[in-house]
Amino acid sequence: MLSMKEKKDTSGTTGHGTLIVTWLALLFLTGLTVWIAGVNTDRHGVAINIIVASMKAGLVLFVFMRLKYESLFFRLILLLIVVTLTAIMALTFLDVLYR
Amino acid sequence: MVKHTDDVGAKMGMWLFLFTEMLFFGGMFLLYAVYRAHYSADFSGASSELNRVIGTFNTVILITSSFTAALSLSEIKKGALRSASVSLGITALLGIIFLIIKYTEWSAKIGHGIYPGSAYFNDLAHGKVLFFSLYFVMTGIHALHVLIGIVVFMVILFMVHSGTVRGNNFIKLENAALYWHFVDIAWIYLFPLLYLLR
Repeated sequence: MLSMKEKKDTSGTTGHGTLIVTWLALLFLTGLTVWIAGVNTDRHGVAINIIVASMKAGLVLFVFMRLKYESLFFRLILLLIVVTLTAIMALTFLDVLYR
Repeated sequence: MVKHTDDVGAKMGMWLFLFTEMLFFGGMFLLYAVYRAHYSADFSGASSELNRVIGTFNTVILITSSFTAALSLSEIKKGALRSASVSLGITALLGIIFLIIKYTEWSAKIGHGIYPGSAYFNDLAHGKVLFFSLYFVMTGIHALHVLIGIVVFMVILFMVHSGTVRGNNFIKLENAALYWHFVDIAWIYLFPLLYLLR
């Protein structure tokens, strides 16, 4: 008795090489952000740290979570979430900083 | 009789759940950002009291566990059940190590009287009280997510051994890995905001 899943195509694996390179890149970016925090304590530190964190999140999303292989639907919803969060943050700051 | 399953629907459900999680954590990040803007000096001072080395080590642990979770999915798709099990076990173990480190870190803070309600805590500057309150809530909720992930991976490990999860039926593992990667992403943002920005 076969389930429908037995016929499923099992292709679409991420190669070990890609996974290892991504892991090393994430470790490098972690080291980079710690180093930046050590030498840069001015107000640009926030922006730099957020940018590096977003690069790391992008690597996890697109390689480990395989978003680059998913349909456009998933990427569009992610974009919607990011835009929504950014808009909420921007509007909140407009409110609290110029109140 | 053919058993109906829908892997695409299952994965879509997990992604939608993760999007709600992003909004959930996003609300806390927003709170952090607003209070940081108001109490930047206090936040800077409070952040200096957190141990960067411990935070960095835990980041490496979680990133590595994300790597082994991705590896386990790759292995099970190839039908390599044994190596998939090993990767799954390592992922759960790294999650446990993360929690143990977090426990010692919290214990040290509580030992110094830094916890909501203590006399020392109540005498801190208002901005520091807000920082440490956010620190406990954000890392506490994140740790709860890690704990749930460990339990899920243990169940998946059992399913691999019992043959429920296998080379041509891996959606449960795939969804568990998606959840774990999200927990990793949440920490990727928590780490610089709490430990690095001075």
